Amino acid sequence: MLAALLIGTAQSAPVSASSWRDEPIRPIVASSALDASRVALGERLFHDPRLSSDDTISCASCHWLPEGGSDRRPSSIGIKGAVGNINSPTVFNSSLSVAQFWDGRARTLESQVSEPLHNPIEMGATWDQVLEKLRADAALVEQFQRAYPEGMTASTIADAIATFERSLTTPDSPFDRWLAGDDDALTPEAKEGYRLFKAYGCAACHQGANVGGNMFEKLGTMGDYFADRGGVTKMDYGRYNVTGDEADRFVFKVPSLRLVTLTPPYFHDASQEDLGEAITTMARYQLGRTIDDAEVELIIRFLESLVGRHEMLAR
Amino acid sequence: MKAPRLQWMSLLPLMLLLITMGLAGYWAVERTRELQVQEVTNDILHRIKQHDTAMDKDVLRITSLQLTHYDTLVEAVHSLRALQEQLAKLQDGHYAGAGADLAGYVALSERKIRELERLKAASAGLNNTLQYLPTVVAQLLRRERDSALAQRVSVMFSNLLAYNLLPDPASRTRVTKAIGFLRSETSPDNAVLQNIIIHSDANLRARDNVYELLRRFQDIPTADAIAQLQLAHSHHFEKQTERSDRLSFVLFIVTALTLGSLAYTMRRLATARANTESAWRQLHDAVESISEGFALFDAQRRLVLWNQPYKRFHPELSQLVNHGVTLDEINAATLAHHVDPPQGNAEIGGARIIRYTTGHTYLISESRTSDGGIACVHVDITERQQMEEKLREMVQAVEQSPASVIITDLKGCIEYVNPKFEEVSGYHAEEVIGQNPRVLKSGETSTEEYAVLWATIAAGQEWHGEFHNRRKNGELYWEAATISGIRDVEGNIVRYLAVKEDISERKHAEEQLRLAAKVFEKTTEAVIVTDAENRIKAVNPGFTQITGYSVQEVIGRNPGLLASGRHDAHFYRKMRESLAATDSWEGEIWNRRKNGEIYPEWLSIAAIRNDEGEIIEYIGVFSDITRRKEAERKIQWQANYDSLTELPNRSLFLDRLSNALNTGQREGWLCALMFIDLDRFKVVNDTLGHTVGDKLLQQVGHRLLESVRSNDTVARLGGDEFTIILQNVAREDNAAEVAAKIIERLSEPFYVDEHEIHIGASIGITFYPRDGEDATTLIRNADLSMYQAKEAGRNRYHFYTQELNARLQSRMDLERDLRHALAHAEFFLEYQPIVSSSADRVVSAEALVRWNHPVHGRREPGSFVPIAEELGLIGPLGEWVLRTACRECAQWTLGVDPPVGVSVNVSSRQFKLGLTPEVISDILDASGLPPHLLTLEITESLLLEETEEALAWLDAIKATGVRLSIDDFGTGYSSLSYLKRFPVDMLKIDKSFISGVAVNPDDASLVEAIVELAENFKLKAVAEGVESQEQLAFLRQKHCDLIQGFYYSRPLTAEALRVLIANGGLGSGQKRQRQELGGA
Repeated sequence: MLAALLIGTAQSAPVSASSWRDEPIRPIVASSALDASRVALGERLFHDPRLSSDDTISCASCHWLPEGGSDRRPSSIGIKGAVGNINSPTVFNSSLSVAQFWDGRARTLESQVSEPLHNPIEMGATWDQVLEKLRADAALVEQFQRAYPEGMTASTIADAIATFERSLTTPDSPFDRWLAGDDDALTPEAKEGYRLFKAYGCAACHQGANVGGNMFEKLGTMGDYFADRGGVTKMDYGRYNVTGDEADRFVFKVPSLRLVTLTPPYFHDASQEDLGEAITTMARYQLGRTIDDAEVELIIRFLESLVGRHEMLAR
Repeated sequence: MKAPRLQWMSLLPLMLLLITMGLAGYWAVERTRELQVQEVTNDILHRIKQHDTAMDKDVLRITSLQLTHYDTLVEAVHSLRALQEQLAKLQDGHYAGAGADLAGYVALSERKIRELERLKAASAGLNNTLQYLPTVVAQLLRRERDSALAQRVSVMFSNLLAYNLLPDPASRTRVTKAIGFLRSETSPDNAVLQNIIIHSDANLRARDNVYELLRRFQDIPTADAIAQLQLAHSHHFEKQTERSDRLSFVLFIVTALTLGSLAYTMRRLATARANTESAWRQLHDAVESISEGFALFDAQRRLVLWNQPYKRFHPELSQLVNHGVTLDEINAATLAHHVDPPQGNAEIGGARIIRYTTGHTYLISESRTSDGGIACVHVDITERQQMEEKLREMVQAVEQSPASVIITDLKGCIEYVNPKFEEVSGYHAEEVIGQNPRVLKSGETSTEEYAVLWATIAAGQEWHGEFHNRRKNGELYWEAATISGIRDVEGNIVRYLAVKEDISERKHAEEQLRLAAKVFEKTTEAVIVTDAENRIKAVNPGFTQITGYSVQEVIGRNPGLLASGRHDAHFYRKMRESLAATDSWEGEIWNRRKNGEIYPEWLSIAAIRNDEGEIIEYIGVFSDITRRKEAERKIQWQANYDSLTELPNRSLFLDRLSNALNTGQREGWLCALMFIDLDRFKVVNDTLGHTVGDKLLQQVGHRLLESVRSNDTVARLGGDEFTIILQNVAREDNAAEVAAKIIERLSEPFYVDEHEIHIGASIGITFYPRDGEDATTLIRNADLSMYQAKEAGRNRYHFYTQELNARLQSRMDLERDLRHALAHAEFFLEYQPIVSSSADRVVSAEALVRWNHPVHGRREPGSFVPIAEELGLIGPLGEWVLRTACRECAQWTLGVDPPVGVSVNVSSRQFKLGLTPEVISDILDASGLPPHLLTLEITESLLLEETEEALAWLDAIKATGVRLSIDDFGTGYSSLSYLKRFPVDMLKIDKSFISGVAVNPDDASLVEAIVELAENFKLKAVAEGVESQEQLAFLRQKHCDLIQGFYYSRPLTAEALRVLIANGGLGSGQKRQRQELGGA
């Protein structure tokens, strides 16, 4: 116990970042020092439909990695064809976020795992059910015993999946290469797009390594998004559903733009299919201005340069 | 009485001392643990403080807009929470101190994090306005230049910036006023100014909000809470330290007292011993003086003093002894009774032994006293003499004893050892006398055993037991020992005697037996022992493990119960013969487990004979070699089978083919060889990944197997190439039927993971002996036929024919001709106009290459472009086309408004064959054609690669100013994501869809979808191959304006096109031509 604590308190020093360009967007540093056996186990579980009550839905069903870690649907399809009520975000780079879910109700990736598992319109399962099914799989049980001293439990399953998710980062994007000093990594259009992205104030919220994901913001700071859209449901209350604080009504986690070009539709309500339209909408409600089409195109060029690499991400 | 009390008294402090030491030890361990916990806790608290401070600092940096991203804050929050959790665990597990304080701090910290989140959001808003305002103000200033409005905006903005930097109420009032003024002055249609006002307002609100949030954030006293935690923590450990100090003080006192009392006891023991010894000596002297004869003679040798024993030392003396009798008289009187009369005069002052005829022996000592007298001491040593005699005999016996003999004193110090001991132990007597027998200790005999030993012999009983001792040379040996006390006359034990016998040999034998039993029990091999009549006497657990039979089930039965039935009588007879002749047999044998399963084992049998040479037992040892067999089989399998599909691989296929040909020759059979290549497999692999590709190949393998007879061979040669050998087909038609069946089966959709995949197959068929006598020829011909099938349009089968051979020849001719065609200027271009149907005029034209072959005449690109691509000639040919098209286009568009451009097909091969942006620019420069009039048509296959290189290439080409279009759009097999990734301007809808729009609803909806897609992506769409009015009507209805096809015009020469354009687009001539075609 004591030894574990002593080890637990020894943390690695942060990576020196002095050599990067000083920009609001930080590079993604490749995830390292993850236990390979736990990553492998997590990958297996991530694709395992036995985590759902009727063996039809795996994590990967809604977070389909080759296409960007989301399902490109307005809302995901759960067990027995149930349709969800919010757009599923990409799982790539989720470890860089301040919290999980649009409303940030899970503080960690580990605590996130249970939610879709229990959600009746997602996987609709219970841990007891899942454990019973998985324990019948001798090979899997053995793999667990090798990776965890305590073997297969709900918390080691969650840990394995979270560990796998930590491995899902997308470093080495053209933009990151540019941050590292390679002037030729970005096209002139992308560079101009980035300048506009900052000049228009997009980068005030979409910043950091994940180009977002590290803060919460009200949807509609410069205009009433929900009044214009109409049909407000509980899902639209956002963080208010977690904190119960009136100031948090309509506040959402700022989504990461790292893979935004791969993960339509956009916004928690999936109201925009087109990225250019999404940018225009953001400009209207968050920035209080209009951006002309040519500039939207340039910003899209910039956003395209944010897509990094991961072996599971199709190119 | 004194001794036990003393003993008890000395024990008490000892016990106390032990308890004290125990306590001290426990306390030390506990203390170390506490110190570690304290250290870890200190460290965690320290780091919490660090992160908390860092967070405060970063918050100041973001509110002053110095920090442009929030990653460090996210990290700080994550770290803080992790540390808090660690601290909570530590408190749960190790000390309960400060629990409430921690909960209080965590609550504060969470509140702070909540405020932090609000601050981040508010700062982002502030940042947003400050980023944007300068732009929009500059925009206004540029427009308004030096007007009064410009000046007011400028003043307002600098006040706003000032307030943002140094917030004081006065500057805020100034800014509010300035904004109010602007608002009242501005007209609603001055959008820029409106924007400035909105954002300045937003800035003020955000700034105020940030200040308010910052104040709230800073008011949360986490630093105090952490300090309190640290205080509580150090207080807790101080208390612990205090307690520890108290404990150690108490321990010190106890130790001191204990040592004091021990010293006191020791001193008393020492005094007591001194007293006891003196008393004992006196007593001893007294006894001595009483028991021995004593006589004192004066200087005149007259007897003056004697005791009773002296009188008894000789019968004569009882009368003689009296005062005054001289020593000489006494000597004279006794001399006659001496057994050995003394020689010469006895010297006074010595001691002598005298044996009397009475049988008594005396030790006589005479010594001079200080006054010249003589003191005589007579000791009757008769008994002692006899004892010594006896002892000598005994010693003899002990010395020659075959057993080791050791005599020790009561403390266990060795006083005597016999020669046998020396021999057994290797120690000389001198080396061990005075030592404790523990010199022999090996450490193998436990302390408990020694304790029992000592308790037994101290109680006066005999102890029997075994020692595992160590010889001087280090060797271990076993001894059986009997130890008993030697008692003196009073029956008190005065010594111990140990008689020991070396039993190492016996022990060794026992050990061997035990080991054998253990091996028998533990080995994973099965051991089976039968008697001479082959009835099972014993089996080991290994036997049960392998066969499934328990011991009870097999004892007394014949091992034949394991027989699998796989071996015939001959096999068992050979086994018996070998056993009879060599007493052993070894080999592989198939037996049957209890559950009926048959398995291979490696069995060794040995016959055991008694001293008379009769066989008394058989011992069989066997191991289950199923796994080994499987491994062998697997190796064998891997060499011959494809691991993915489990079909025969190339090597086994060649083997099977050669067998089939041999059999075919012998039996006169017709054999068919099929080569199967999957259509579009590469696309599946490229787009869905290798995993899906592999699974697809497995399913293909299954379907192929299902399509043939069981004795036919289906093999995978690698990649997506499969082959089938049909051993004996009655007619060629049968092979065709199989091929058709295979194509049908492979054209059905495959389901891999969640993908529905459509592929097809091209099959080449060749027959033995018709198309070739040997494997090599047949394989080549089958391959060739397959390629022909593929060329003929996929999803079909093709027989090898002589024509094919001929075609091969003609193809080689073609290749040769093609190599010369460019140099001989045999190529020329035609252009098919692309027409805007709404404007009814030519907007562009697609260049089409033609080959005027000197012998075969005019050839269409389909017959030579693929070959040119294969030969790498597409590089120079493509460049020639591009150059020519640009030149001719520049001519026809000269002076034409709007200009009419040209489209040129670019092969994906050219991407790697030197068609660089520089080359394109050169060609454009040379022709004088403006870049935007040139459209390069690329195929989807290039986009499918979606490589960085392809993208960079297209980007670079795009940068020269030319347009890009995607040819044959819709025939590819991919997601449309590349439309976003690649800089294309135009889609050309494949003519295969256009031809069906009027009749096939599928085609119609597909075309409609493509047109919509193009619209969404802001791309132009061109319909190719439009031939009829119906098609045109459909396309116009779907807002597809750009039309290419016979409906408007067949491909024209450059000159004809020029004329057409010069005549003002689609004049009457054009329409006439169209009508002619419509009628054709």
